[in-house]
Amino acid sequence: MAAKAYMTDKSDQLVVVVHGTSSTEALSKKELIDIYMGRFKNFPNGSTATPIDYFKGSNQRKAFYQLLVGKSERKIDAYWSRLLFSGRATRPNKATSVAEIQQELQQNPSAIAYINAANVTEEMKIVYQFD
Amino acid sequence: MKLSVRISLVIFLLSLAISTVFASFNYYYQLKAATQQYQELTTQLATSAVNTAGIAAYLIDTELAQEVVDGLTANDLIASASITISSEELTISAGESKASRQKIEAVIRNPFIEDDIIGLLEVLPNVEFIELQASSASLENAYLLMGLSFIIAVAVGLYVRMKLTYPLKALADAVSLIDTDKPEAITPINTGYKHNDEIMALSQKTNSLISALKIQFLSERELREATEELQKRFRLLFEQATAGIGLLDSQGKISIANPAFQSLFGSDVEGLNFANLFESPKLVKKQISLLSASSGVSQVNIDLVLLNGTEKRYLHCLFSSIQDTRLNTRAESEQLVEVIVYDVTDRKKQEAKARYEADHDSLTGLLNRRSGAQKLNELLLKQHNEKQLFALMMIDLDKFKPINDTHGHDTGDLVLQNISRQVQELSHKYESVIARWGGDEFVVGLAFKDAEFLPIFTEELIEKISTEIEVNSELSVQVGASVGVIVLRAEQEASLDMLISKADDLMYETKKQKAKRYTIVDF
Repeated sequence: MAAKAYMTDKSDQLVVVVHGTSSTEALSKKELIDIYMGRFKNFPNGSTATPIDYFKGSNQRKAFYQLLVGKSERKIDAYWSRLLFSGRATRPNKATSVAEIQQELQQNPSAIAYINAANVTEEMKIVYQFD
Repeated sequence: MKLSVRISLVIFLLSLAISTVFASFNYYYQLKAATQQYQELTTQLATSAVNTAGIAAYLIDTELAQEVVDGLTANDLIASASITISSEELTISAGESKASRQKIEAVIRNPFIEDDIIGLLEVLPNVEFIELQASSASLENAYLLMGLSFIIAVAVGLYVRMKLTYPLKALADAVSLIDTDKPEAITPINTGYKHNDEIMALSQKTNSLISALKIQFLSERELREATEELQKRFRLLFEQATAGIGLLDSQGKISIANPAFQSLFGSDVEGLNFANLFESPKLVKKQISLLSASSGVSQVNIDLVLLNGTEKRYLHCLFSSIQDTRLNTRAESEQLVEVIVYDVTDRKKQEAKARYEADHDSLTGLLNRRSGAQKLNELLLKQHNEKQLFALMMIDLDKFKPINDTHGHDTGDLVLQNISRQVQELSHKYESVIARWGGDEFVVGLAFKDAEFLPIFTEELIEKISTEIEVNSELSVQVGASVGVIVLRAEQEASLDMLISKADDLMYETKKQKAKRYTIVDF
């Protein structure tokens, strides 16, 4: 139902974007999960991936994880808390605002982030769309 | 073994057996349940670890995986655990891995993609530990059950002892105290038991039996005493009886004899044949044989003479046939003979004396006129039968009356006695009868063969009569005799009266002729 709502209003729909120069053109959902949940630190083609997350409590973050793995924000935080002492996986960096994400995406060619479709600029490349 | 101990022991053994069986069943059931429970626990542990294992496998985080398996094996229930990460073909394990059928396997899924299986969690339960735990828990249960059984057995045993065996024992003791030798001292038993139940009923029934027995005891004793008294009297009757009483068996042997019987026949007569005690056993046996059931004769009596040394005993014997009623069957019943013996010797003697006195002259001891006539008749009959001569002599004393008048009757009596003795001494040698016929008259009957004998005898007779008799030292007297003799030949017959009359006539004729002293004439 939620997905349906996003489809009607394209501007509110979350999309996953990378730096415009990135060699990665598209990602599967599984590849996206592996990057965001800390399994892999690279894109499938081998280039480093730096996932960027929203600050805790933001609507985009809640919506993103719900769409990506079907889990609440709290559960995702608990997942990372569990891995706090392991050090094998590292959680994505947290941005405090959309502007900060945009800036990061411009500055860091390995960056990957999720934003509202309305906020996509020309320097960004959409690699995944939620349907 | 005492009843109370036995009951307690049986209850204990029964409850021990039952509790052992139940404890065994319980043990195995508990063991199974505990094993299952521990396995469920193990499964739950594995299940709770599978999420973290999933994360570790997902991230290929071997440290985390190691942490998970270490955490699992730290539990006593788990022997070993391992996480296999499929994509890396990597296995992280902890604990001692053993081949076991009870291996618990849980698939490790991608934490974010449900369909994606990324590994396997294997957990081996610590079977020995689980069994040990389950077994100790079950054993504890079993011991508890058996202990409980023991306590219940002891409690039931004590209760039974208190409520059943004690009252029963009290009753048994009271009954065993009864002295059956002293029935009059028996009193109803009282154990003080108050509950109205079977024991009370038993006690009451025992009392009624006791009182019934007591009555029977006493009445039987009374009867026995009465019988003994009666027996004593019978015995007295038997032993003190003046008549001899004996019992003869079917062979005629003496089986019982009373003292009177023994005094007649001897003290050791029992076992001897009664008939053989007498001189003519055949006669006695014949009399006894008359007593048979078929003849219908139940009593016979016989007078017997017993020669006891030189003494003659006259016995009156009464034989009665009796049946031994103590023997039931007819075949066994024996023909017994009771013999009652009266000693009639004294009576016989008295009778003989009376008869003698009746027959004889008291002064001279000769036959008197009445019995003399009877004896003469007998002799006369005998003479006739034996073809002998017979002489009847009539003797009359001469010069007797003057002696009687002059010297008194005593002297006369003495003379008569003397003459009688002389005549008796003479005629005693022959077949004769002498009787005193009157005051100084005598009759002699004589049977003989030779005719020449008669005058010799007559003369000797007169000679004897005429012998001087010394009355005392100063007086001697002498009498004479006139004798008439009538002789009857063998073929002749005559009555005694006629002969007496003829002899009397002859005697008077002789007396008239002073010179002649006797006359003998043939009839």
